[in-house]
Amino acid sequence: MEVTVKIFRYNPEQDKRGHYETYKVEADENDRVLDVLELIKGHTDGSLAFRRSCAHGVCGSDAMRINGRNHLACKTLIRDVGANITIEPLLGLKVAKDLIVDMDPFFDNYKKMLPYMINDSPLPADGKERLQSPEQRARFDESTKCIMCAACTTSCPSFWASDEYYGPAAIIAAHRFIFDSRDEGASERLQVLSETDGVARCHTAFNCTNACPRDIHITQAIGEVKLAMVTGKLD
Amino acid sequence: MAGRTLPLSKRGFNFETTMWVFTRFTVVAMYGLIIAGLIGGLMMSAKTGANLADIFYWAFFPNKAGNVIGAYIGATILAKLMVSAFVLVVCGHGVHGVLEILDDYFSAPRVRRWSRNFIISYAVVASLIAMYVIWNR
Repeated sequence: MEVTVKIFRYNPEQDKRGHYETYKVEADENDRVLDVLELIKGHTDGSLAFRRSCAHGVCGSDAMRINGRNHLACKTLIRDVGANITIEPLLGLKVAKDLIVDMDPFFDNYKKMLPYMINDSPLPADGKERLQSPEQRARFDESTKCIMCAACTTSCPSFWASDEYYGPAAIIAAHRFIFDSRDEGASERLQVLSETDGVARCHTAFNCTNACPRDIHITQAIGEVKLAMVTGKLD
Repeated sequence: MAGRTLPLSKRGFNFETTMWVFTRFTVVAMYGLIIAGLIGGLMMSAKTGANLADIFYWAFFPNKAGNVIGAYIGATILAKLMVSAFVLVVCGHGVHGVLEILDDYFSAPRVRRWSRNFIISYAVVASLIAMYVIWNR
């Protein structure tokens, strides 16, 4: 089938503003949008820039707006988006070139969540590992699935308004450690999240949950963090 | 294993969190007041033998002279307390909504402080005027 692909193009060395270019390619309906992009870059226009790495929905590099919604290009089939496809960079982050955005603000917010285990208590008597029951592990299982693709954060209207807002992905990163029974840094993270640009900026629009390629219930997780602030309960 | 609970001072319970909780409670309070008002209205309408038009008239134009039920119910202390509670709850809820929207667009701390002071002052003045109108007619 012939697929018409309209792609946002912007080269900061040549263009004052972005524009769209349209390409027509032959593709199978079971091909992925990433395959179509590779086809265009390999055979039609080698100057097209986009991120990709594993190409199997694990690394989260190729998140982009496909027909107005955030998706991973490697997990989106042509048959699901039709023969007319519009591909744009993620919203809310500065475009570096074509479909590549500057992820620095996104990762800066991520770092503010202290996304690592904090535990200064001495090791257990046997000197080995800190044990955790399956129930305790299940408490934060959802948030461990995040691949940091930024599809959620860049679909959030609060983040579009101001990239000072930490965004859903950063809050998910905090959630993963706040509810981990082995971690002792919940207080520090909740203090950060209680700032004006923290969870208060979430207006429960549910865009993040809809955009997540890993099907994480992000809005629910943000709600759990809000409740932890109010009740102090971490289990 | 004992449950992990953070004390109030260690869970980031500040103005933002307080307003978030307040906004949730005010929604519940609004629904409660609306239901209580409807039930009260229906009970009083039944007592006075009102028809549906009268009930709607009372619900949307309370205390109007010439309206028997409105004049009867609207003048009571309970009705005034109900309306006062509703105005205060709605005002508090609405103010936080406006603050949230403004915070989305004003990210500079100084501008946010000014917008908050302005909106909260406005809400306090508006609430005081509303109380004056409710209790002095």
